[in-house]
Amino acid sequence: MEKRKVIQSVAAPLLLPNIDTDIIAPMKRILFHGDEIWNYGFEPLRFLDKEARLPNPDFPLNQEKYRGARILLCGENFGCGSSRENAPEAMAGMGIRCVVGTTFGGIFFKNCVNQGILPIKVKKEDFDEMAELSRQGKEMIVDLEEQKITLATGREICFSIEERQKYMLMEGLDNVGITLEKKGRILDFEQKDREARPWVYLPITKAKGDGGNI
Amino acid sequence: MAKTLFEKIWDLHVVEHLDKDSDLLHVDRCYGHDLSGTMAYRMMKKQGYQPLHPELAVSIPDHTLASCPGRGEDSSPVSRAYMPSFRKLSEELGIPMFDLDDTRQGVVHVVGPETGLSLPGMTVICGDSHTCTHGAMGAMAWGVGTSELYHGLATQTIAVRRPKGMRICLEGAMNPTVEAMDIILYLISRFGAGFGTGYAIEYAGSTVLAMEMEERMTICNLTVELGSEYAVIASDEKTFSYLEGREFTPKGLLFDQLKSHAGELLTDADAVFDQEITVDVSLVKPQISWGVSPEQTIGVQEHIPQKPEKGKEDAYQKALAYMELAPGDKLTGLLIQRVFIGSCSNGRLSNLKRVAEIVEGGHVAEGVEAWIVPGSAKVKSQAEELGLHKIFRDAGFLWGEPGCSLCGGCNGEQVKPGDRCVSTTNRNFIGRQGPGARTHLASPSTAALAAIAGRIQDTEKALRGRE
Repeated sequence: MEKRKVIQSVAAPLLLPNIDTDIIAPMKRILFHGDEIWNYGFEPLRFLDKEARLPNPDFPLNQEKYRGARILLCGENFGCGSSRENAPEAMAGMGIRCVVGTTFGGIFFKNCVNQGILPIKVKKEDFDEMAELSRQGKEMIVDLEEQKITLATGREICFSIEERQKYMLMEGLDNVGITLEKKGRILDFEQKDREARPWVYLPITKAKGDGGNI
Repeated sequence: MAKTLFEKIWDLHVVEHLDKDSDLLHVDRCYGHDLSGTMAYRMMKKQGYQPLHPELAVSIPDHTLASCPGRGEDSSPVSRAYMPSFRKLSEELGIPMFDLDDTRQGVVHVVGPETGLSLPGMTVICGDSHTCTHGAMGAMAWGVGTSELYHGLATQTIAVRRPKGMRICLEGAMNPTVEAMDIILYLISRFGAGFGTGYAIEYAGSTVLAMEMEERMTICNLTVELGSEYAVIASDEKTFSYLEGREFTPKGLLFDQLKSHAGELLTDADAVFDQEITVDVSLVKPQISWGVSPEQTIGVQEHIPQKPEKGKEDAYQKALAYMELAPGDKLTGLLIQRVFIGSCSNGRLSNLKRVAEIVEGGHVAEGVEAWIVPGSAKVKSQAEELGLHKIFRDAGFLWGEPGCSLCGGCNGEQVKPGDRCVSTTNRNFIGRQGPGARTHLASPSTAALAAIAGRIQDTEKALRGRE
């Protein structure tokens, strides 16, 4: 995963509420073109004719002003619906490195980090100001290390992020490696837990009908 | 300090505090389905890891399988592409599998509770947003992405940010023509699809206490459409009598231990929620969605709103255009071409019994293709023991093989462009059931009535007329 520290870009505004992950990564494309899902990201909004790949001029990322945008301004409850991680994967493949919105689908929000996209929640009034500046084609700067967004007006907006997510994004790390360094602690937890909740650890492989009669 | 049920389960699973808002939690169950499971297993192989406890995970195919009677792995091009890899990876990683010919196969969120794998007080993850369904068992259960599922398998833990707490108390007796599906659709339309974002929702109140387990599962299932990743309902006598004797439910002394453990996991009387609401459900009528978000739902007898909510003008116009409807339209009387009854929302035995009562002796209207797909192999065999499949077939329904089927169209089965489908599933998103397909979410009763009439019916009036 690429390291992320500072992202400077125009922010493309995709302000419809409730854009779901079926729209961001259509199932049919996941099934048969999963390895290049970015070619089909936002397909129902992005193309007027999907098969001919005729660009929809209303879709912000098709507009000259927002070409190559690395930041996406997202309408309310963006990324709701299915847990598919192909959604942020498609967006990452389209060049998006940061999403900014007021509310996000919870699973999508976490999946973003695992796909190297920095997700940021901001207040409604700050969001509206960003949307206005983006309409004027103004750039903004997102500094992950300092946890602040600098608008074209010079105004700075701080944002919060979980420490481990910041670390992952800053260093471009896979979470599993970090957690496995704590394997001893995990096994200690399980040893104690086995005494308190032995039924949890009955293997699912047990013969049918046995049901863990120990 | 007083705690909520959710907080108690959380605290029992903390392996390590990560930062002020996040903990590393132990994961008790990892479920992999044929799509996200295959993807997570591939990720794992690529990185060269093995599951820490493969025996606490299970692979269950549901998404890609065809639903036609007598289906095999080759009946769908999608299962033909995914199943060999899913099976091989499960084997290589040592993860047990409920394969196509297994009597325990079915939709993950039907199988988990019905086999006794999802138990009160457990943490349960699956690469599927409707994992919140298992919260009906008194478990903390939530959907994760493929990276997180892979993390859960490799480390038996997951890093999670603690959500805020919300309690929704449902009070009052449900109208007899109303089902759990109507109640949860009503909540989504009233409060909005983003309402629960950032919260774990506990359902409580007299209505919930009176609900059967399968009704509670429907409520929890659609909670993700209310914006929350987690739904939970405290376990009670109904939970234990549901669980007793199921294959993976602990037996004898262990079952007693589980019951007393679960008995301690109740929200304390003085526990504080960040948000608490009470809803009188006695006035709720049968519901149906008109648009392309589950929040775009109205009572079956009502009219589509004349005007959009503020800030949702574009979404409202887009939904009307996609659904070919106009402001103020009524849905009753609208011609339909498809009906789908099934899925992790409403594919359980109690749902099918209700449908059978309605369709017995009737026949699916001309020009309508209507499917009933059981949620699991077990639901299928139970329904067949009761002879329900005969009633369905005699009435002109297709009686399918267990799986997700038409819910998300992941198996290649689709509703034709422009066709209108009354569906007991959980999402009416654009293109969800196929490009250009128009989905109306509704209860099994409403769907069954529409199949027979060929048009959307006023459920209350139609059912009252039958009495």
